[in-house]
Amino acid sequence: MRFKTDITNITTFTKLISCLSSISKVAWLKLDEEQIHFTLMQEPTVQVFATLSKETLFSTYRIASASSNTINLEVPLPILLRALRSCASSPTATLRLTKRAADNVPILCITVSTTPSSSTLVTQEVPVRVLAPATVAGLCEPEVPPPQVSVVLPGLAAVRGVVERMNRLGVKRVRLEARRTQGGGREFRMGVVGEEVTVESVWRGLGTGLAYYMSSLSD
Amino acid sequence: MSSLKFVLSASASQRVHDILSCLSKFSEYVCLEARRNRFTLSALNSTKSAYGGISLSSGEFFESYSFEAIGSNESTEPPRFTCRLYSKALLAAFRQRYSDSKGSSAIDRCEVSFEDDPSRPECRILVQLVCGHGVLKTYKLTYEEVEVMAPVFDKGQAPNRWTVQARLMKEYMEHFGPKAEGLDITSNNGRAVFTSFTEKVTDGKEILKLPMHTSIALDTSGFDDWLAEDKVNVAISLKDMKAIIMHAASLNTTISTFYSEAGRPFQVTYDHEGMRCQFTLMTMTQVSNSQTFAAITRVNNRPAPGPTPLHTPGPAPRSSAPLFRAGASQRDSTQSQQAIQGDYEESYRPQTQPVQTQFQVNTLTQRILPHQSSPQAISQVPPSQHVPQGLFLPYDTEDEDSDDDDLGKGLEEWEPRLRWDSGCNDNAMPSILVVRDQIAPGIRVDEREDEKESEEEEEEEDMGPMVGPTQQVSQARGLFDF
Repeated sequence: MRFKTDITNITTFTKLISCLSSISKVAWLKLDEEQIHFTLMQEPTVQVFATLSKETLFSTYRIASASSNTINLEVPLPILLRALRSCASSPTATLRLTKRAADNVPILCITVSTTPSSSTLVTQEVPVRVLAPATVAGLCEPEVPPPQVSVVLPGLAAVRGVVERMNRLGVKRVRLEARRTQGGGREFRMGVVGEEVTVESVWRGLGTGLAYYMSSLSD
Repeated sequence: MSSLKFVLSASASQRVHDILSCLSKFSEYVCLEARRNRFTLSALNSTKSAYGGISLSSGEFFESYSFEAIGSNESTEPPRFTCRLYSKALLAAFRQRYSDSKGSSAIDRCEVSFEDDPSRPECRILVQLVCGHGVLKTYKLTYEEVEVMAPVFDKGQAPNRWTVQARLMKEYMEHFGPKAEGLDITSNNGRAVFTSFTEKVTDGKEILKLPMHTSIALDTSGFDDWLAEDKVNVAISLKDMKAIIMHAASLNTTISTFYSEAGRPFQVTYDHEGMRCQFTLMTMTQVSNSQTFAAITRVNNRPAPGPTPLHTPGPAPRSSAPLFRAGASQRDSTQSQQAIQGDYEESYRPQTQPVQTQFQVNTLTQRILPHQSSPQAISQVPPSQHVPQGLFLPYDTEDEDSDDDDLGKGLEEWEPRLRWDSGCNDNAMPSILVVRDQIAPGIRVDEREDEKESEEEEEEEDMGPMVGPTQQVSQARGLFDF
């Protein structure tokens, strides 16, 4: 089993891992010849299925394994994040799967030069666990029925601001609603009901994402 | 009885605050020692594996400084006053500075005086911060008078050394994970490698608990000076080193390190404007298997002839016998832990006792200067009789300057061995016998420092009485006990 690649887009990679690590501490990382898959299924309330093509993050991508050149790893996200953060200052880094000589623990080894010209090399070793194909065979994204309404959310910064304000009201659940209005546009509502206060935000005149969804299904 | 007063400028108060916050990372107590022309703050951690001492020169650092030992001090020694107090308490007195520094009530100066009046029930330090607009903040802190122990480190026995800008080291430190415990330092062929690691042994199932190792390989040309031998591995506590580097970087100075090999002490020193800082850390006795980092060979970008064999130091080569006779047993992690504990005992002279077997006692007494022997020997023999004549020079041959140079004394002035000094207590203050299974700071006075002149190097020590071990190994404190 071999895996070695250059990380060309460290910033995006770091942001992705940062986002994922706030949801769960452990991820299943599946590497195959063309794509990278991150699956987070540990939390009971939320699961994440992320797929990227290898060119998004990597170049000079080399992978080889006994099971159709696919490698499945269990990766601790906070540690990976820490390792990536220390690479922030340089444009490229190398990522490699190997074993720590001392105790034979498989690791993802990230090697980076602190500045492009310097010969200072920083190596971060992230311990991982190799998952057998049998273990992951059963894990897959759940089937989601086709949508009845699809709406493109308003700017995420605005939505986030609203969510944060609602969060401070001490409520646990938020109700999301999307509907098609008379004029054909779409409306999106978020509402919380607290002990003393009810807050609802409505966005109108939004577009539909249905066309995009249909086209991605046919891929 | 003595009287000590000094005045610090505003920036010097800031420095003292930084010193205290650095020392407080080692121990909850800070020890103060005053001599005629210098004042030292020091801290010793609870496992006695790390010591930090910062010596302030009375002329350069203080606006004014006066120390008089009133009372009966023997003529053979210079006046000296030692005490300790909670570092948090002293830090609190100096911390006020931050909020004031920007406002109009900024500190103008800080006056400190020690009230050592036997008629009053408690000893007090009086810290007065004179601020703008006539505001005066007064802190009264209690202290206890104890003897202060300082390690003796022979730079001549530490051939490996390097010097580097503290700022540069600080940048490197930032790459290390926050949970890493140890820092391994080695070099090979012009490349220096710093690796952070954790000793904990886990079974690999809990992936989150497995440690992250970080390795930084750099050209030794990046250092101001690199005079360390290749393939020598030493490992120290990363937290301690971080605390030291942070402090040194705040002074924007250059640090120098001195060490010899695994298991022997490691010293970091730096100076700045009347402050002389010296930290002595214990290194781990042997680099166990888990620490032979693949990174050491991998990051060697130079075309190495085939895979370079990993440097597995195994039991560190030391002059004394290994504590566990079977060499193979040292691979086992539990035994290596004990080996660390045992070695620590050996190098650090007992407050804890050397491990049992007669053989080892014999070996150990060759290394450790026996007249400096264990507290038990001291308890049996009154201190004044115990000290050979040659150690202490007549008072009048001593320079004023020798006080200043103590910490920086070179080869010719220190005994040719590395050890902790539990010198005999010679002055009027009662020595405090330490309960042997309790590790408390402030134990023995380091008399050696004041009395010795360069010529007086002791070559022969008489063999003191052989003392059998009196403490169980299980009670001994190891380097990284949790």
